[in-house]
Amino acid sequence: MTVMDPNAPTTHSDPPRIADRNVDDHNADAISDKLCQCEPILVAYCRTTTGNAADARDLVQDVFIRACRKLETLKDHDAFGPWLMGIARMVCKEWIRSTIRRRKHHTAHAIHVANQSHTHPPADPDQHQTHESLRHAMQQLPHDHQLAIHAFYSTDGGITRVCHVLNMSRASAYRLLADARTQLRTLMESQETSS
Amino acid sequence: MNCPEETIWIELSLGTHDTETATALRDHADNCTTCAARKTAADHEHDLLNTWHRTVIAEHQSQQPIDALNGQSMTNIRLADAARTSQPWRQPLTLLAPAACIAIVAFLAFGTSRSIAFADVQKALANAKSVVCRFRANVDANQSDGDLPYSILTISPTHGVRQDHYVDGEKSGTTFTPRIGPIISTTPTDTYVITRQDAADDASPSRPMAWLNDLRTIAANNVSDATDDTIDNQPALRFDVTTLGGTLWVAPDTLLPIRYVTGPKAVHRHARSTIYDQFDWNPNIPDDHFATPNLDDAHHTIQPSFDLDGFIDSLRFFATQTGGTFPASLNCDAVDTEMSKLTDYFGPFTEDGTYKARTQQASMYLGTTCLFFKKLEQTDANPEYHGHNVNTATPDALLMTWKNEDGTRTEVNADLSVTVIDD
Repeated sequence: MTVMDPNAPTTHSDPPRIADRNVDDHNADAISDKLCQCEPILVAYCRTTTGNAADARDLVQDVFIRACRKLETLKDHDAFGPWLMGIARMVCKEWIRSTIRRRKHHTAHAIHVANQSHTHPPADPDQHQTHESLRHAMQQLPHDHQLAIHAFYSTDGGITRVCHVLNMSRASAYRLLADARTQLRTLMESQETSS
Repeated sequence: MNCPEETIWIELSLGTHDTETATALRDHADNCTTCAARKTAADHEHDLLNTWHRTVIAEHQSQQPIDALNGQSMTNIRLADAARTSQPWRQPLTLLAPAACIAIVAFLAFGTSRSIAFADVQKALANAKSVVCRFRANVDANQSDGDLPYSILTISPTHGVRQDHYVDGEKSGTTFTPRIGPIISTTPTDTYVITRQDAADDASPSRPMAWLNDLRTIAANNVSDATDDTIDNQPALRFDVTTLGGTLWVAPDTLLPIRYVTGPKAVHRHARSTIYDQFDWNPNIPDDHFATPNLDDAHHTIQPSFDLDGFIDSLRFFATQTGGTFPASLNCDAVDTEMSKLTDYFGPFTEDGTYKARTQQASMYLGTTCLFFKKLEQTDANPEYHGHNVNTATPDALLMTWKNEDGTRTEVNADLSVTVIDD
């Protein structure tokens, strides 16, 4: 490992040349644009998992950093959306596992108190309650169904964005989305019944 | 038109149908109370989903530090940077170009220091990718350079920070603070220390690149105008960053820092002064510079987090090693006595560092318990500890309890479960 002498100029070796790699700056810009375009979808996905903005923000950041580190493993750039969402799924699963682990020696109340410290009290308690019910229902949807909902509603891209994120045709995307909405309704109705 | 299936109203709210079909459906709903109710329900769900997503995105954006210059989320800047810098073949000249261009244009256009706003410096900082600099904390102005311990910081937006520590000119260790994951410190004896900090703590003032983030994000109107100065007989522009208690000198050509001095307690609570100098902006950093050593179980030590989780983990460690007992006292003066109960864990002395790593590990766990307890004692928490007569064989027995600031009380039982109750 190189040890730098602060009194001398750094002596790092030259970086590999562009010709040594397959991706150029144009692709780097395109990829960074894609990452930024996907941010709202990831925010919604992670927020559905965590229930609070602070943890969701951290998870989104984690997803992006992992994605940047693994960019070289992405062979098919058309599959960028599903690839990125796969990372998000993994990150969220890890978060759930670590939360469950923490609960082994925290009561639900302590976790609740900890979560409350992350968020401000809701301005509109009724809307907050409705949104929480919606979030719980979305949490129970299958991964692709959740993504279809988030891709459609969190960006201005509509169905086109769903197609890109899930790498599917327009007709398939509409079918998936309608199916997701139907399941969501069933889940929300069952929540209302049980409460 | 017969009443369509219920799901068709969901499809309508999604905009699935062509204009003609959509109009026919709406006309039908206008004349059918059953379908009107279904359509209303579907539209309501659609609106609810729209509102939820808008709220969540707005909350997320409101939490992002914003680049004062162009209104772009700093996260987005970092993401784009990360995408680029994750490709190390990008030439350093290309990396430097935006910062250099801004600085040169500003310099040519105005020519005088008073025309340079701190916002220009922030723009140069936002465009800079990585930096190597020297860092000296707790500096006494009367000390000569040669006497001071120092660290060489290597800051990379994708990897995090590496600190190479030097004492009396000899390397004394290295600390890796990645963007994600635990901090790893290596010592000359190869005893590794891991702390449990993660990306969530990235903005913490104790993080080694917090000072740089502060300079990037501080409101530019809180910084003085530039004044002409010299550093090491070279021209420099000086800014007084009062809010951060520091003074920053930047190079007139690049507008990137060449020296940054913060006053007492400005950055590090216990520091007298902190000096960053010998900057090398956008150097080529080989990938392996941030490669951490492989952690060998026998040679690594876990430093528990200094919070309730770390406290519980520390008690669990003690109970595991002593057959279910807890420290009889959490008084810091009793650490040596409690350490003596862990001799089975240390094993016999070995030259290979295992013994040292284990004693260090035990010391860290016990240190965490007593410091956590001491912190509670120093507040109005009134902690009560019953470790001298409680063990894991009586899982429901109260091991420790204290009062929280919000009036609730925390109870830790012998099974190390934690309950927060209204007092």
